[in-house]
Amino acid sequence: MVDLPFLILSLLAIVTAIMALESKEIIYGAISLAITFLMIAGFFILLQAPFLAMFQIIIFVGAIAVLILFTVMLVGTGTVVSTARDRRYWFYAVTVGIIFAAGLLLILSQWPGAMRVLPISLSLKEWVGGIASLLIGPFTPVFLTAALLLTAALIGAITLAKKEGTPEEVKDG
Amino acid sequence: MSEPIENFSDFLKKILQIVMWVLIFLPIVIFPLILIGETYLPTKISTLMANPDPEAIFALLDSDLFRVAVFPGFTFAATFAAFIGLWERKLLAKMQMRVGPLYAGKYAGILQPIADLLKLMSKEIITPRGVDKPFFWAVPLVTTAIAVSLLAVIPLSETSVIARTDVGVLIIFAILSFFPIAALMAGWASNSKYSLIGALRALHQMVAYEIPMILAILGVVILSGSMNLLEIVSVQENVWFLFLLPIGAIVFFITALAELERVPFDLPEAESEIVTGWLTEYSGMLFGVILGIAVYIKFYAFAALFTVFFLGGWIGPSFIPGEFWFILKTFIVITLMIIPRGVFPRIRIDIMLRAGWAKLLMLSLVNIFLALVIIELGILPVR
Repeated sequence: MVDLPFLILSLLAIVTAIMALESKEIIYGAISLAITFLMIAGFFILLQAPFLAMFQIIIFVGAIAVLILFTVMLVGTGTVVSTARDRRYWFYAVTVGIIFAAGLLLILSQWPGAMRVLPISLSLKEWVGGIASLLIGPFTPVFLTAALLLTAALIGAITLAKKEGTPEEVKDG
Repeated sequence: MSEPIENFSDFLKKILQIVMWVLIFLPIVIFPLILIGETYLPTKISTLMANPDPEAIFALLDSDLFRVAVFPGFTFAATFAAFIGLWERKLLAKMQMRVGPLYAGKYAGILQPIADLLKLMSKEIITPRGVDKPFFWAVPLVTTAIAVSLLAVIPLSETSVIARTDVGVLIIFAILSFFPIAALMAGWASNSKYSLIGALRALHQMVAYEIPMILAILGVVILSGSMNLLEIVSVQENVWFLFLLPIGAIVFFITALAELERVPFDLPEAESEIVTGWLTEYSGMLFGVILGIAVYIKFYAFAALFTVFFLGGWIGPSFIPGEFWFILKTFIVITLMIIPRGVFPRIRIDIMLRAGWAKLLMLSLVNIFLALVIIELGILPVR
């Protein structure tokens, strides 16, 4: 029923996720986060979805983990996290986590698709074609809205980063 | 040797360090041992050596283990990489009117890679004070593993290929996204300003040049209608993509030079400014592993990818096996990639970033437009 690769992947994902939260050196945390993303890509491969797995790695490891590392390197660890850890909210965090996990399990146990056996032999064209026909078909408004949102965020970032005035004024401060 | 554990947080730190080591060693050592142990028990191998059975030997030559370990895989690529190093030194020497390596081996210093290897192995490995030991020792393993995993998807011919996968192009970009992390790990763990500056430069450069590279390959994917490298090569049977998408080929070549940190984009290891960049604190065989194996296998892999994407891979007159044509084309691409090192000076970092983000990005978009025009005019059929 439960096979060895799934167990190893789950164990590594959980351990690295805990390390990402709990390690004192923030760079250990960032690298652990990258390994967690990698393990999630492993889950996609176990689910016969190599396309999603590769995009998981390209986007989450290649962009997000690298940007986190970038920020840590540029800003310095002292300003990102304080070494004095606040332990008061530990109890609330665990409670909320358990409630959330229980709710998720309840929903998933009632969903009939959870126990379905996956079709093994889907070719890449069927995969990408399926995703594309959903994106260009019924989900076109969502797709376009996401694109507009990203463009707005990009323009906002450029506006924030760009200083007013002539180059000499900007250089002076 | 080990200090006494004073409090609970030190204890937790020790445990986390042990977990880190297990995480590093599990995929590198234990998984392959499990995989090998299932089919190739030592007793089986010794039986084969005592009583050679032709069929079993042919089965071994046709097996995944042989592909990964020997021919299209590690041993071939490492040997090739070692002789790329020799060829680079001889070629640069010729361009600068020197003679280059001369004394090792009977002819023209042909055994210089082996001499270099022996020299590096005999040197002491220095771990500087203040380095972060797990990361410092993990970096050679990690960089080598990342570089070697690029070899898995490169097809030398229709038969000698390790992974026949439909997502080959995506796998390449997924692997490429690990290199900046490895460089940053090295730069941070070394606890040295030169290493950190080099790693940050490597990060800037790789992030900036990864996007034009992906977009340049997108033109190839549009024309071939597949992300399988074997299909991409077989589509080029009549005309190479170099002639259909010259702009894409140029953009891929330039971005490959930048990703490989080669001249004129060698800012991450600028010798005259920051000793050797993110490799500064490595010595002895650790340096040998990173530079000799990881960096040069990456070099070979990029040249091979250029051959696959734009030069038609193994396609050539069929009286010679396809592997030969592939290696010949790869060798020519490697020579073209070495020549800038003898010709160009290092460019400034702001010029490099502006060229990457503005000019190469525009050129790669033009390349995608050209690919769509080719599809629209019916020069190549839609696949």
